Amino acid sequence: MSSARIPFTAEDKRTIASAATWGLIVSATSLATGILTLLVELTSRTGESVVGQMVQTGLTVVINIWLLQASLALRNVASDTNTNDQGNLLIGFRKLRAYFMAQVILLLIAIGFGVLGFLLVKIP
Amino acid sequence: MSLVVDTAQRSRSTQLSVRGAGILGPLMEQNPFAPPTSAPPAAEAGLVFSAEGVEVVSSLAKWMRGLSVFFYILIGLGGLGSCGLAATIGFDSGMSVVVLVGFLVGLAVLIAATIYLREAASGFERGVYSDDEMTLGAGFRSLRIYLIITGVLGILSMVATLYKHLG
Repeated sequence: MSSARIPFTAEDKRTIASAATWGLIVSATSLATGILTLLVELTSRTGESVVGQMVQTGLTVVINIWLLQASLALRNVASDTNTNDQGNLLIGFRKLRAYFMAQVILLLIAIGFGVLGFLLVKIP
Repeated sequence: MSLVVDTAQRSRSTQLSVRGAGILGPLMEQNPFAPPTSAPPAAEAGLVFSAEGVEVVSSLAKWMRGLSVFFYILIGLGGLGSCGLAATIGFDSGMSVVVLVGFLVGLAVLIAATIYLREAASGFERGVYSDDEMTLGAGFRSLRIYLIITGVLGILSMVATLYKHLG
């Protein structure tokens, strides 16, 4: 896509801005929840559970930073002052792809671990 | 942007003049200032995505649909779980009914989120393949609703975490 404006209607721009705002809310709440849970784990427990929680929080931070970046790029698309709509839209789509791709991969890994755990428990 | 809009307006005015030419044909033929009777190609008007843009959005749509498949599996398991819950705890006490209704509401919310996620994926893909910003806008509308649902769930999750650890 070249660097140019896209003739979105005013309603579409409002929708994109609203989607970007909700994307920011989702990423902010997820980051806050992840960090809060890690802090609680750090203060109350030791050992493997803390390491597990650190990995989980790290993944949450990475994934939600992608969503944050996508939301900021989409907010620029909806802005009247920014002229590089197509470039920002491409950045937004790339970051959204990374966000959804990471979610699917992590779900696959989680299911894999779940099945493995089940087999280890059931098969002596 | 101005180029795109001007081209679209020119296309529309040309189409109108072509329609009018049927009635005023003889007059138009004599008018040296009459607009051309052939419309410019449709590709000139509107949004054109590069091959890279199409590839990114196509891939994004695939991953969004992949996530929705997981949600559908989760919904199926949740449905089975709610049937099991109903069979186990029954409808005798008010609490069991509340738990079951809560479970079903959760499932309904997940179904709505999944439907909107798939709609957003389809909207983005169709918008990019047809170079149409209107369809792309429809994709963003669905994405917004999906993000609102996940946002509200995220806020509730954060409040629950705060309540669990600090309350």
